Amino acid sequence: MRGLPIDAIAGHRWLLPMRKYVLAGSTAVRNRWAYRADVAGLVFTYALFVFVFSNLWAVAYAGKARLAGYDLRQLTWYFIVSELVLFSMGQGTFTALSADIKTGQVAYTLGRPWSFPFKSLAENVSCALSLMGPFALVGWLMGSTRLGFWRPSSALHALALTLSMLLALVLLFLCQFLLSMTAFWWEENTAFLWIHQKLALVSGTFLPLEFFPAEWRPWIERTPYGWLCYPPARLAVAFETGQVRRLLAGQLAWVLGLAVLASLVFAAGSRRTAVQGG
Amino acid sequence: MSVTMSAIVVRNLSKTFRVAQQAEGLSDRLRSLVRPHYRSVSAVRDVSFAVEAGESLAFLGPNGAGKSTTIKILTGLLTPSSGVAQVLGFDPQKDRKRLSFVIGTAFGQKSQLWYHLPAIDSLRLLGAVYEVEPREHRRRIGELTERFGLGDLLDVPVRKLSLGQRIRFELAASLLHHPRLLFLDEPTIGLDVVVKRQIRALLEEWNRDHQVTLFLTSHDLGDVEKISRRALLIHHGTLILDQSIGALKRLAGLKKTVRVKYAAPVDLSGLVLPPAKVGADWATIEVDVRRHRIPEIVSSLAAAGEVADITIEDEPLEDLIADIYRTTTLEETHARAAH
Repeated sequence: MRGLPIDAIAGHRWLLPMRKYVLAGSTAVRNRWAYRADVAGLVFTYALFVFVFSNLWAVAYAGKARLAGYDLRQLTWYFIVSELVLFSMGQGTFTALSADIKTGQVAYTLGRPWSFPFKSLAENVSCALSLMGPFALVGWLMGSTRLGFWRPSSALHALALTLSMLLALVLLFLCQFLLSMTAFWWEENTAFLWIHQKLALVSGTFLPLEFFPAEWRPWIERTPYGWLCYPPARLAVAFETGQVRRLLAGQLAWVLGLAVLASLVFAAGSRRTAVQGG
Repeated sequence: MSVTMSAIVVRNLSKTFRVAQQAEGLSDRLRSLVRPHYRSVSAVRDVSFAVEAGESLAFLGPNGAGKSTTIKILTGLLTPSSGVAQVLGFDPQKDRKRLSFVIGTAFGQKSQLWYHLPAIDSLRLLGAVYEVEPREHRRRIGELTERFGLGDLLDVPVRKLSLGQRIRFELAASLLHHPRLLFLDEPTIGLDVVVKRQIRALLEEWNRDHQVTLFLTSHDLGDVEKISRRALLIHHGTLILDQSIGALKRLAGLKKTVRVKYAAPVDLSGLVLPPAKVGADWATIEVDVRRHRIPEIVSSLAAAGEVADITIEDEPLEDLIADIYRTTTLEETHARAAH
């Protein structure tokens, strides 16, 4: 029996607690890819979305050079990147966690020596990162074919974009994690996901924040929805070094805030384990 | 830890749940949105017991008796309303994480294996979860899979395993971190007779050779007889019986069933004890050996005609326990608790 790359930590006992989250993530990825046809179906749906919406934007731009400061090329790439983030995360976190809470399966996971929120984060963000590869390839090929070749303008651009995408995935995870925790109190909680998906799609995914009236924007930025898909998509198509710090700091602040909230809600919810499925 | 130290100590443990009551009528329902009415449900009432390290104990009770609630308290998932629980020297609620490193759980109806992946992936993950050093972890996987006869199946996706193979993997997964106490919930549910025997033998062997304390809940009295040496019966949240399996069997032996088949139709009106069931050339007689002697019953049956076949059996343990459940009312169990 061969060891795993992560097993190189043998002899470093202090790293053992970290190993469980790395393996939780890699096991979830292997499980996600066990059915390649399912992944292929998702990639096809993403390609269809990009195709349909890039054509819709082309119609909306008829006779206009710019809308809200974006030209057609920028807006199409914006949509490719923002949907890439949203599709990669999917809604698996909410669906799986809600089901585990409702069936009581969560009790068996809680009984193990790990942090349930961290374990969920490792599993879901790892899966999202693994799916991002094929989505990004298809999106890049479609965009480059239609709009011309695209690449980051500098190493800083690539780094900022990567960080922003990662933070967006973590934020999306935290939103779904928090919403799924409502299953501890409500048997039927899918309406919360539905509302979340629509808000995420409208504010920053399909429409960049510049499309909203100026007085709306501060309000959107006071919610996590202004920091999910907008920062990475904006950085991809209109990279300004002055904006990098503001966008990344905003995302990071929301990640920290929602992480604290998620811990509190999880702690309160897990005390109700016996009621749901006990 | 010395072998005589208690693995589990439970004193006056109670757990009461608050359940929202459904209001009737529109006005009451609207009012209940603002001020819901609750009623208390006692899942566990004043339960006390101790389990010695290395002991193999069956924790029995009908559905809804309070078994799962007790196990959840013992594993730290639930906080008791009152009373004390100590597991392997830990307070399960305060030291849940530390306790989880030294206990294991195996549930026949809840899998801990990743369904679409080879079992080896789940074993690797579980070893990591319990922070077993990688080289030691590989050694333990080798040891367990060899003992459980699973070596050739490590790379087979779990969904392609038979139920018996999957349960053996579940047990191996539960033992990977060498727990000192193993909670087993219906470990042989759905298995055929041969695989049940294998699983029971493995558990018995692990208990004997590794001094692992087994805490078994099962509705299969075969599991209880083969794996456990002591049984606790919980009913309506109250402990109603704490006996060794030997004592239970002796109790079952107090009631015997005599089945007789005659060579030809006979008249059975003169028997010492009237038959529970009777046909033209056969009879079934239930004997309480405290009131009647078996030789006396057999002689009376032999006197009635030419006997072709006769069998004498103890009351099945299952029937004895079902009788206890059936005849112990809620009031009796509560009176017992008050006593």
